[in-house]
Amino acid sequence: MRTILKKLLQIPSVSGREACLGKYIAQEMRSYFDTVETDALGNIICRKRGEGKKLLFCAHMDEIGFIVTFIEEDGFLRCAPVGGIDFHAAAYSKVVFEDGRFGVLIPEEGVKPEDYKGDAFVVDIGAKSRDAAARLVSVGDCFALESRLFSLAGSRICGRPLDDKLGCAILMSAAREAASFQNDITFVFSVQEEVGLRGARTAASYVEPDFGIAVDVTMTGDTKGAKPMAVSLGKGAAIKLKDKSVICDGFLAEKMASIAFAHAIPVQKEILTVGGSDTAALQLAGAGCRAGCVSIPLRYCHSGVEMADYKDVQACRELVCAIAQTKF
Amino acid sequence: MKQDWTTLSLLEELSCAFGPSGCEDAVADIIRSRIAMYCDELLPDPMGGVLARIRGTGVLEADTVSPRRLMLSCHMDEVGFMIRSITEEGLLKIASMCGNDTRVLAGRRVLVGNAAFQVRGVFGVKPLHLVKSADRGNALDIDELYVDIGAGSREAAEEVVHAGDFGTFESDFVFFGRDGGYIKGKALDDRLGCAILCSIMRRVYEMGSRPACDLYFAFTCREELGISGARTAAYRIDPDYAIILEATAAGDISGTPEYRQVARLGMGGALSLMDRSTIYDRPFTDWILETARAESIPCQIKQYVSGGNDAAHIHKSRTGVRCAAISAPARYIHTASNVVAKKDIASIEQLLMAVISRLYNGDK
Amino acid sequence: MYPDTKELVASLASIMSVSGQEERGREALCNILQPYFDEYIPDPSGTHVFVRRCGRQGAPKLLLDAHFDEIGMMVRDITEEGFLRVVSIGGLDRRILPAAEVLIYGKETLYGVIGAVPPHLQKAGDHKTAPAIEDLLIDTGYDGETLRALVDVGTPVGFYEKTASLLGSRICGRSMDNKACCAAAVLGAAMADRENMAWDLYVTLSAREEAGMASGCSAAAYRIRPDAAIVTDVTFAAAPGVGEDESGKMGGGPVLSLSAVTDRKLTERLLQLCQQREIPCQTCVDACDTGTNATMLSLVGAGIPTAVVSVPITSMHTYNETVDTVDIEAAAALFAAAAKEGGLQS
Repeated sequence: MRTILKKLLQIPSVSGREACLGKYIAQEMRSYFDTVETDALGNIICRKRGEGKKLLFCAHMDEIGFIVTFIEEDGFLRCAPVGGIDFHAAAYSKVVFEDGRFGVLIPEEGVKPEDYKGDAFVVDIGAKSRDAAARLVSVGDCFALESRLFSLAGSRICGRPLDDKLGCAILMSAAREAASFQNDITFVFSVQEEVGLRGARTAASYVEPDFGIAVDVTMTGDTKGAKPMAVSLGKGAAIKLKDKSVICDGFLAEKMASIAFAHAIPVQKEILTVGGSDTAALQLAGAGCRAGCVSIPLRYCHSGVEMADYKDVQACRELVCAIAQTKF
Repeated sequence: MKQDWTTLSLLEELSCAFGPSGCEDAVADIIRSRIAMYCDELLPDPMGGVLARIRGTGVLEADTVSPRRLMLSCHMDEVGFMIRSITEEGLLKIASMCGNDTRVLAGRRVLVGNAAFQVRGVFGVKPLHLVKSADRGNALDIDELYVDIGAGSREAAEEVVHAGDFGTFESDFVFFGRDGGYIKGKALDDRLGCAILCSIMRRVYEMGSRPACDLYFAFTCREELGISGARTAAYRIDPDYAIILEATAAGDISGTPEYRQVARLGMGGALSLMDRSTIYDRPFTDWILETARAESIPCQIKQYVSGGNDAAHIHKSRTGVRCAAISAPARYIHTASNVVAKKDIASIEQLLMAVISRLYNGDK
Repeated sequence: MYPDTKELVASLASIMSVSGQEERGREALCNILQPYFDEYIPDPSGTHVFVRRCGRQGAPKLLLDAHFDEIGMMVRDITEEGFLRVVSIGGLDRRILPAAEVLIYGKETLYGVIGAVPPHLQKAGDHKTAPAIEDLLIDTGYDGETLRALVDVGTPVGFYEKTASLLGSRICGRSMDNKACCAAAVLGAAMADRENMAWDLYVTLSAREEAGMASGCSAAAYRIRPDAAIVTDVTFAAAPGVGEDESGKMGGGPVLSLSAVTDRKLTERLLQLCQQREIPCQTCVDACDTGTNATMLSLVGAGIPTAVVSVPITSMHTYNETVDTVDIEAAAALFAAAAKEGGLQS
């Protein structure tokens, strides 16, 4: 799974620009599923037909980033955030464009940290003039903080964007067990989660599942100064009960917990008081479905140093497989 | 039967029509009367929108963009307000819709009523002399505003208006500036989209031959509320591609840094790449830009991430719709005095015709 | 045969239905409503769908929606000492929480009290601010270990108050928002004479309204595809601090919403019906959002003409919400009348 994750981190996928990553994932998934389709928004929809209930698993391909909105006379680029950017975490960072070109994200001189927002920032790509910059970059190009992955003590890994390429890696790895899946299973690699859960909605409308399960990261309550929250890094996969966007289906959450118990997979229950997930889109699309989420505990979400515990990631993978293998 | 109207004369008629969000029937009636003979079918819409269809031949030879059903969408409603209650003195207290900027309401002349009947009124304000000097620089709160229709009592007012009635600006349609190249009016956001789509329908229909794909024209309701009739229209039409025709806030006025000007008047329709509620389909948008370039039609890219439009709902409809948005740059939108450039209207119409021409198989 | 209004409201209110938990009460609910409907359809969204048929094939469908869920809490954390921390479900008024009585729906239903800091332990000025919900502790009287065996993260918590009578026709208690309107919808259906019905009447007692996304109502409507819909929910009643032009009068009959996002023709037809049948009613202006399921419901599929009929309530979102049964009965009379009228939607 680490190999899959590394590969996914190499392909940029700012919201709305997931096509390259989607193409790669579709290619990889073809041998495990009956059909692999790309929809109008770019979701990758992989279906393995089977008897019984229709289950949809969904991890989002997109990462937060920036879009170029204007090129200044002197060659600086103006940009707007795509998704929930924390400008304090992003200031003075190296950024990478889709073609591999570098730049640095810099606040205008004299702007106080409390005033950090999109308009206060420029990107310096080293270009001396508008013409020079325009030869390299166009309005509408996207970029993101540099992706990276490194190991810390024990089983902890750190880097970006683990949100939600960890989820994609979990699904891609779980797909290898597809032969043993019960039910009618669809894996969706969704687009545009970070800008408002947009892709999961159209994918769910297409699939019309009975049960929809997102696989996405969640925050933890074990960082210094964190709000009390019953999720810790290293204590297993989290079963979401509620976040700001959704109250999960009670029946499904209990079923997930009992499957975890039966397979001795470590799990914890999650109530997230900030942030949303594709779970809400799955619950709302069309006639809706019973929706839940396998959450991957993650510290420092949306920063350049997102941290996960590999044991949790493994537990999430096991839980996804166990759910798919259990007759619903 | 050929009708005697031009895009601009229709725009004037539509601009002056009464159509705040939720009360678009008067505008819908005008549009229906102008386009009924230029389409094959009008679809029912419980939300009150006008949905029209021009049937295609069904087969489009391969192009990078080859829709089955193309939806062209604009919205009929304009920013407005609602009468909340009537005072003893016969003055109307109002409820804001879509967060009206009170600074552009105070002192304005307005029309209040319903689609069939309206009366004139004025937004009254407490005289400056009686306002504490510390408060003189502050915008008014919506609760401090009232509409005076000239009724001396609640009874007199209730003979013509009621709580729940609608209101919007009264504002003349004026050509001004060099060679009368600019237009000022209310509701140009998005009646100019409506006028252009009506013209397009007539031009397509009068060509005599049919496009390869079905064309659907949607004139929607309630866009300004964010609770949009475009959502239900898109569900009924079930398009695979959509172009949203809008007006976008242009900031090309002195003192605004260039990177925040968004779009410039006179430079043609502005294509959006991303706004606050939609990331537009890039291949489709590029295809439109390429069409404009090939035909030397002026157009620009919207250079700021701001605002939102009916694409917010359309692109997420059913299993997803590839969307592009073309906006006329408009200064001072959401006031009684929108300003647009005449030649932008012409370039947008020209661009849309060029786009539609690509949807024919050689024989157009 | 109609049920007694007060009894019906009380029996519906006795079913705990904190948002997300609506399915727990299915059996109890079906037992109460079974005499008045032809069919019960469980919806995976948690919405309860009851159908009263007019007996004609292909009859148009009128949807009558009342959300079934209520505000409450969910356990977030269990302390060593046997206290519970919670998150709010729906818009709780944190000014009224200290010392409130609650029920905790774990393996057993436990009684609890929300803790309040006694005056002599407060810092100066503390009494001026309402505590944040995340800082509140629920006292269960159990030790941590025993409590953990009975309660888990995610366990729902509801208010304790049962329905009680006030003077005249008024009643108070928890969950009047929206059991009062559920009762009005059920009563209306029960009153509708099958022979004379122009519609098949679908009463949706919908899930998750208080959670803010109208997901239960929209999902059920997506399956039902009604030709027209009436949403019934509570609205502010005139009271100290509530302006006359933003509220209805208690006992003045149902309040019909005049809004830019509902169907005005349908609303006007309902107003006419009230006049014809001498049903007391009132109107209020909800310019661009009704704050009810109607806003999203009207956008389901290719669009559904929707009107809002509300019952005035005081002390909304507290555990002693107060309504007048006169308003519930008048709303029911309007629903029964609407069920007889064909072509309401056009």
